[in-house]
Amino acid sequence: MPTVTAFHVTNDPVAKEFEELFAEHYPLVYRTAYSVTGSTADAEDVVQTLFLRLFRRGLPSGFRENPKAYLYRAAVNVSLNSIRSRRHHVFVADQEQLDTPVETDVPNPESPIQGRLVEAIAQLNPRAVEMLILRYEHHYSEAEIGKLLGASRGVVAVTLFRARARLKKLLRASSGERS
Amino acid sequence: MKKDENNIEEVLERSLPSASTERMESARERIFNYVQSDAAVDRNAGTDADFKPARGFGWQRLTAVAAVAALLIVAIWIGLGSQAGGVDARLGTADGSLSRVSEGKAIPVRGGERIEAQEIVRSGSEGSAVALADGSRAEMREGAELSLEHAEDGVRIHLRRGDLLVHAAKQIAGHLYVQTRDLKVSVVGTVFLVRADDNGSRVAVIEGEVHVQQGTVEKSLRPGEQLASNPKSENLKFFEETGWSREAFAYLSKLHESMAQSLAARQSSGRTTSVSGKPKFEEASIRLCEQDIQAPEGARGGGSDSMRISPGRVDAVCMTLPTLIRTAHRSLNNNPWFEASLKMNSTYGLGTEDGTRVRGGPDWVRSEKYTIAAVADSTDAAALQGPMLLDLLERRFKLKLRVETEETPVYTLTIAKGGLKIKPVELGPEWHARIRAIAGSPEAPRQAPLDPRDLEELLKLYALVGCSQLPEADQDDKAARSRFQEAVRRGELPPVCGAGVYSLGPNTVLSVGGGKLNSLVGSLSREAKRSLIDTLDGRLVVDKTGLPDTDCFTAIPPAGTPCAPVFNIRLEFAADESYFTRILPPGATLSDLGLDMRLPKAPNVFDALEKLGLHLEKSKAPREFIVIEHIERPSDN
Repeated sequence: MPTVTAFHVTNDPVAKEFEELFAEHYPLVYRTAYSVTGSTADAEDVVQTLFLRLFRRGLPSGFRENPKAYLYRAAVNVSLNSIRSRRHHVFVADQEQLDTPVETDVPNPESPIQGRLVEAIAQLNPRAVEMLILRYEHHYSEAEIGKLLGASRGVVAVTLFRARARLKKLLRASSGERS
Repeated sequence: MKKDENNIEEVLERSLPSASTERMESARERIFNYVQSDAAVDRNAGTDADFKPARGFGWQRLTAVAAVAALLIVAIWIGLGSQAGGVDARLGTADGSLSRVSEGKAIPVRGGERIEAQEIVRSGSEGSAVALADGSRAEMREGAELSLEHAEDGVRIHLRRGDLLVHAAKQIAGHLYVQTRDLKVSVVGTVFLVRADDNGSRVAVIEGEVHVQQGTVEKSLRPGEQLASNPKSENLKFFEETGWSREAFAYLSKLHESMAQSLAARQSSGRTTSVSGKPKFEEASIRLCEQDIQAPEGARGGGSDSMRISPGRVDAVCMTLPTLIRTAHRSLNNNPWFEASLKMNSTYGLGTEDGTRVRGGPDWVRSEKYTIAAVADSTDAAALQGPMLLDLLERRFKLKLRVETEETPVYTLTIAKGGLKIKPVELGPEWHARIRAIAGSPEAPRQAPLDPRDLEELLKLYALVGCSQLPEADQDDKAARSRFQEAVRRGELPPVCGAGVYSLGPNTVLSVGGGKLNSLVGSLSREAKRSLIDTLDGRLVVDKTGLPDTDCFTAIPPAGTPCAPVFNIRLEFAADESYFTRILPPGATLSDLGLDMRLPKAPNVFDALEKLGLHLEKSKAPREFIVIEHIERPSDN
């Protein structure tokens, strides 16, 4: 059905503020969601969910003090929720021709590092993910991360160090562990 | 910084998913439009319920039409002006298939054109949607005709013919009306379906409550209920009747959610009580499926012959009775159904039962398909799929089953006369003891999470199994990964950990990496219906090797249980020639399969197994079947 609904110029002040918020923060939210989920469809769902909630519920108290931090944290959390509750369409009948080894009871060690990295990141503490994505996707310095998220530089450094160490373990484990 | 730390930093720098600006920007307008239109509905409705197209369905469809829609965005509006209570009936819509009907002619609506009140618009061949500025939205099925009009306290959609799915925003002061020739529907915020045709009108409610007036008689309808102006007309079948909507799955989900809430409300009020300790579905809708339903784009489940188990719910879409019985029935001796346990919150395409497991019954059980939506106060996936579904079938279809045993032709896999030539991996009792100490056991389950040292040790222990894994250092090196895959495929490295099947030129390779022999038996049974259908005649392959079969990897058994020996097996054999012609898409050639058919043909499966010290021969084995003794078409909902 070739239908797209488009709302046009409005005098509704809430809608106007929403439009401005969307325009300003969409790249941050989208990029963050994509980095955490590794999927275009999931990233779009995250952006959609986050802004829908914001528009439906109205702006939470304190939002205007630091909308960027609020939206960024929300993007990380919604993305983590999304990846942790991923629903898979599963096909169990009518076997298909397969020209690569199929995964059964163990993770496939041939899977690209990116997929394993996404899975590993999903197991980190959300606070650590917030800092990690700011550092490696948005290229913030530790000081800038601290400023945005309200943490000391030391805390940022230690959190990032621990997150990297944990990621390393998780990546190793995912290439060798049995499920 | 240590070297390892540098490595993980490199991995993050190089491999963290990073959205391209082009991709991000291409989605921006689409997301904004969708969010804004949907948000308006729910903001006005004062609800936080997510009501968006099912994942992998709505967005893909929107994406598919985006290129067209971008050219078709129009700003049509109906000049009703401002209404009382802030209801503005201006339409903001972009739609390529909406026409105005004037003097019997349909004239496509163009960008910027104004449509006057009471002017009739008709949806084109692919349907259409209109959105009111109050957030209400009406999806029009192909050929539906409507006009918008003033009402005393709101807006009236005059449905002249066709189907309309209305998602009415909560009205602040007033009502949204839908008027057909013989029914008047008034709502303050809900979702419902209206049909108007020559035989009369019908209203069916998906969510909320609507008031329907026919002449002087007025009635309220709740989710799952419907009313027709002509009592002789057939009930609408929700799933089929909303199947044309791009949000069909969301509507169905919403309907079930509403029904479940209604059930919960009744249970809490004490009006519904359990009559026995046996878990049962409390409410179920069983409808004949009039036509097959396509799976959502990009998904294999979700269309006909699929099932979804979710907490408190089972949804089966257009399935035959034998398939439903197969899905619900217990395991059968020598009659395996792979992946018999459906996981919660996954949609499964289940194919159709072909007589392998379920026999008997009248012909209609294999030709008629049913859509079932059942709700219950249970979050046990196995119970919902098994005894509860079976109970429902028994009650509603007056179903009676029996299990019969029959000697059937099979192939048995035994150890060849010369003995097993493949050697199990020697792990020793200490290995199992150490795994139990770290990961816990049934007698002493581990409570604390694994710490990094535990993970390191588990990693080392599992590495002793000897199956192939791509070295961590090569994970992000495409060339190295490709070399690794090729070496595994050609047998130059041990099999990849896990069980696998792949084609190698004219041959099929079954691999078991760190697994039990029975994994190979399962793979052979599958190949008997795939690449060896001529050779093995579709027969089941039965394990008669006499080796222990308890997998001590995936689940740690009680102490003292003999563990299945662990093997790394690569079995390469010539596939049936018919296999390649069967899998070729129409018009394709063998080269399109990406297989190098110049590679030498491997021995046949019997000789290939003999090389491993295994023997495959024809035999017979008792096999259980489910027989339908009695069945009737279902009672009314």
